[in-house]
Amino acid sequence: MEVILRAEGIKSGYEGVQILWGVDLEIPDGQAVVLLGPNGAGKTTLLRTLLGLLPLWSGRIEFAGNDITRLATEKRVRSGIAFMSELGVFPDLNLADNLRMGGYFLRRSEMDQRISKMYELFPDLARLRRNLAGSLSGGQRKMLGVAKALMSEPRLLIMDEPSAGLSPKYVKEVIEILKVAHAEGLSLLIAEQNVLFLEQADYGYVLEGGRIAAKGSASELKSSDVVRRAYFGMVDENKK
Amino acid sequence: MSLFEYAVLAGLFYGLYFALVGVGLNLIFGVMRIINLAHGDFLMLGAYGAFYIYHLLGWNPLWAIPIELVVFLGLGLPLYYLLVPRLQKSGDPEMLSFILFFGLSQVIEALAVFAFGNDQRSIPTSVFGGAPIHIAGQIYPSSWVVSAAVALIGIVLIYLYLYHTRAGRATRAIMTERSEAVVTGISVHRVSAVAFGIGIASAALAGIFSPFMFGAIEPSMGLGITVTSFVIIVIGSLGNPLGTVLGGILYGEALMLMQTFLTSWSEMFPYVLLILILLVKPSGLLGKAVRSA
Repeated sequence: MEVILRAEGIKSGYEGVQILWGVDLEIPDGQAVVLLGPNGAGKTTLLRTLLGLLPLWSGRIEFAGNDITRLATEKRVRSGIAFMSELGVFPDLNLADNLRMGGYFLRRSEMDQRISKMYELFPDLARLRRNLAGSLSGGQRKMLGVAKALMSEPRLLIMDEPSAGLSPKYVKEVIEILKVAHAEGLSLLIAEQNVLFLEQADYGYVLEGGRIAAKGSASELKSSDVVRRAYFGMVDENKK
Repeated sequence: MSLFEYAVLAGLFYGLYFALVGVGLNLIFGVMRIINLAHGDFLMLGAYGAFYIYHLLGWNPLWAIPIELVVFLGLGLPLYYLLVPRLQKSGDPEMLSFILFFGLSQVIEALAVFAFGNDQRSIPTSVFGGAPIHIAGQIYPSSWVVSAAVALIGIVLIYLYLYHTRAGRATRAIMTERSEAVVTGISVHRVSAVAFGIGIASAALAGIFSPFMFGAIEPSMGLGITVTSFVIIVIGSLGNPLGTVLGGILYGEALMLMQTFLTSWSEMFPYVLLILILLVKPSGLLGKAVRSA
């Protein structure tokens, strides 16, 4: 199967503090890959390095067959990688302007087409188009974040903790939204602590202490010890 | 009551003008989180531009508008790339920008003394037609009305840029969440460089009218104007360029009313206003917290 993103031997960190110690990761085209791991495992660091927001200390990143190791973030986005941060939106901009920013480098005609497409996919957004993103509920905000990321017609959507700060009801909503995105033929890389996302994924990685501790298909991972540990950790956290 | 009405309308003219004086400083702060302490010096350079265009070329100072907009926008872009990206790599760009732009301000002022001399200069107000303008039963110098009108047009253009163009929306996106703008694929430096250019070009534009609004110009006028601009944008709220309009008008009204009725106190009043606002509503009248300190 074709691989859309391949990262080899990723080492990275912040100002002299190494966080990632040689991570290898592959995302098969059209598949949903979940990156599990506890807080501080290096999930966000890995995503930010893949996006070019953090300098890569060593290793190599390839996207759709091209070496993007040295490419600036905006060029990676333009080549088809969309990123949805934990925040995901511009709170002080209205919803329509958020979508326009997601398609920042599209031609005007394409832009209008994509915006109507997003309103079609997410009818709730059309209703709220004049509202400020900051006034939306947590679930609506994630929906807008996904729509904003989809504006540029990416081939790969990378998401940092889409369930962060959401109640369980909204987490299910976000998973439904992701199903919509995935059905559009998009490849997904989702960093999460919430193992519910593994149910929706084709493949998963577990990151611990800046190294890949386990990997495998979703069903393999669910039965592995490493994930059971993380999984039960998660269950405990939900009870709090 | 006619004196009161006179002061209120004069305050509006001055207020619109002051909004233009402050808007660039606020735009640059909002987008880059740096304080351009050389703001008033760019205004001073714009003033001398108008002065020489009038005295050497004999042209109407209004010709300075297109010329200076091109020159200062053109100056802003390389200056941005020279200074700002380096500043932003530091841990506390806001603090460092104070020092760096204070230095720039001193350099500009010193060079201006060399180039223009220390004398006060002015442009006769008759260049906009000698006859004063009658509005609502009051008589105002035509230069005030022209200055206010140009300021209004300048602010409307900045508004249209920010709210109705792609780059302008991206500018607001950077103001609201810089890191989100980066991961959205916005060319943050290119958009910021344009905002920087607009910031100092708007200062230069205000400078063209400063000989009329302030009576005279001199190389050392910059620092005082930077402080005035700072008062205006803090009143309106830091980081919200359109809040500057409110800040400018409040400042203009306060200044004119004080100058009319309590002349000897008027010099102090803007600062009292600043202190009051910082005590009562530190985020500015239209603001929410944009900075932690």
